[in-house]
Amino acid sequence: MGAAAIVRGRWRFRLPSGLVLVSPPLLYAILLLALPIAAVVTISFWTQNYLDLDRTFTLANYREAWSQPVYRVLMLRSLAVSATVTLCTVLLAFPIAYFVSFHVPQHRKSLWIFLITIPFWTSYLMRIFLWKVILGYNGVINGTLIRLGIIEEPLSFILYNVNAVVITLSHAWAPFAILPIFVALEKIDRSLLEAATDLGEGTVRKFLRITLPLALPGVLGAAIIVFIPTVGDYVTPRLVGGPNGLLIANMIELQFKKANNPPLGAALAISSMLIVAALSLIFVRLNRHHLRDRS
Amino acid sequence: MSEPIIELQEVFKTFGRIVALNGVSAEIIQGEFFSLLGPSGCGKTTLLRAIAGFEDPDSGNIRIDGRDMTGVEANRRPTNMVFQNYAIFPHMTVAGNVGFGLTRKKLGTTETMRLIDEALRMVSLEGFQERDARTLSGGQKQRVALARALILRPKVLLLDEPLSALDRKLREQMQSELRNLQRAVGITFVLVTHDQEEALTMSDRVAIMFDGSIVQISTPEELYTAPANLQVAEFIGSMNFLRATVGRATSQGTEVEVEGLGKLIMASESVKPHSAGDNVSAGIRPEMLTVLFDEEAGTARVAEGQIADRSYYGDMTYYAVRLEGTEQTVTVSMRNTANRPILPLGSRVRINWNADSIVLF
Repeated sequence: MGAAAIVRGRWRFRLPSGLVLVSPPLLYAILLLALPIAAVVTISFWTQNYLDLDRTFTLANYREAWSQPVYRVLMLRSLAVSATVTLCTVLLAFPIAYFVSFHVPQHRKSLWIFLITIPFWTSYLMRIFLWKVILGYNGVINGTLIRLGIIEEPLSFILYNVNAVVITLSHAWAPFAILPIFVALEKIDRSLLEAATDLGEGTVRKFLRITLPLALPGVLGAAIIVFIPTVGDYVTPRLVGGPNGLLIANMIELQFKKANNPPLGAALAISSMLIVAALSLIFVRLNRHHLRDRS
Repeated sequence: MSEPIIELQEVFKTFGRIVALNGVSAEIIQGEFFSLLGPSGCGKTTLLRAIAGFEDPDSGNIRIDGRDMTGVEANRRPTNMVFQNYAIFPHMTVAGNVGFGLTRKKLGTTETMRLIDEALRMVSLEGFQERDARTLSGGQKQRVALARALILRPKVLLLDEPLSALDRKLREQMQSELRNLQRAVGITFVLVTHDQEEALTMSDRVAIMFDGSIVQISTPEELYTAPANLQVAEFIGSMNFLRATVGRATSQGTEVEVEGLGKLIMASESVKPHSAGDNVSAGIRPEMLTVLFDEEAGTARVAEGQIADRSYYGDMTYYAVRLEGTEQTVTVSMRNTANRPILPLGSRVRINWNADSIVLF
């Protein structure tokens, strides 16, 4: 009896400990991630009747989302903007990550990484407004260029259009791209580079044959980290995108709020989520394939 | 025949305040197996890296095959290296690794494949071409690293502690394989190691380094039997040191009084540079001392003593013998041949020794 109690006591203490440990984040994930997504999925199959929701199952929202040209234009524009932002961000981030990993002395690296994250100390909105100041009609760039006599009229293609969205987002997401690339570069065994040198390769070919392929997982990670959230961004296009810089997320916001059609907004959101997921998966697959076949 | 392939002249290299190479001069001969032996931190790896072109000497000169290497980048030197961790490219197959250096030579696919096959055969890795480099074992990685370097037919192959990561069995096997490979290809090998056994068994000549300087360059036998100084003698194998006094020179040689062994006559040549009256250390290897068992008659010299300690190693027994008339003990190693008893502690024994095997420091 005594022994059994001890055994049971031990079990009671041990068995739930895993679940107990994991339950707060699990609860958090269910409440704040799974439930909202489930709600959005559910709503996307309903219909809005002015003030109340018709809860009969329908695919009408999806039909509309996939057939109306306006949504297709916005979706394609969103993907194009995201792809451009991803490309720009990764291209800008790689040299920085490379510099910190290969040219900054070991004991200074953490300081550099710390400095790279400084933009995060200000709010995202603040940074967008700062870009408005920089890119604006009477902004820093135009002012400087006019004063230097390089241009006479302020440049109009840098604010309130897609270019401004790309510039702002590329800057905002740069640290998210720098960090994974930096980590991948840090992991490269430096003796591999020496071995490549020893086998006769110069700087450029050494980079192309060793550094780049080995950093590719980091580059890929950076690309996905930047690509996925930028498709859904709606603050930046609203503030610096102008009328032609609006993206699919702005339309989703519009449906949920002003247009009072949450079911259509939900269908658009789910559609865009699926498209992004599919593209990301294809991207990962292609890269994995590429990595495996390289020799 | 004995043309030097590498000439080192007064090579200096410092890292901050640490002097890694303190004026190293040496010649490495075409086609030999040359080892750089020394304790960790003695500068042997720095020297190897300086030859490879990964470190620039602060001063001094490195010539390979008659060409001054100052300012010649590592990728333009006629050397190839096997790295300590092998540095196998993880994103490539075995063939990709082995053929890595060939791409620059722009050979055709068939020729490249043929050379890769040949190089893999040389290191007994036939059929490994398409294996993923990450799936290789330590010994296989080492072979790939060897094939990758040798396929380029370097003038000199540099090996940075290539066997230290392998387990004992594999290490011994690779030692003889490396030796045979070197003989077969005829390329000069320069091996860095801290393992004296490795250096002694594999090398034609060994350079022993301490604190950034080469102290002695000689054949393994010479290094073992005639170490240049006390430091070398202590580093290579084990040695007994007995206090001794140099006596006067006679026509037969120089008298030396060794504590515990008595007076002996040594060839005057081997007593140099000591002179009469000097207090010196007399070094003698444990295997040069023999315990005389009852029936065996003392041939040359005999000292008496008592067994103070004993270590049994299976094939060998090491006795610590306290010699009569001194506080010092000497280590005597005896091979455990048939019918030879293992002597108990406290036994009185007679030790046989020979004046030729004594080295004075």
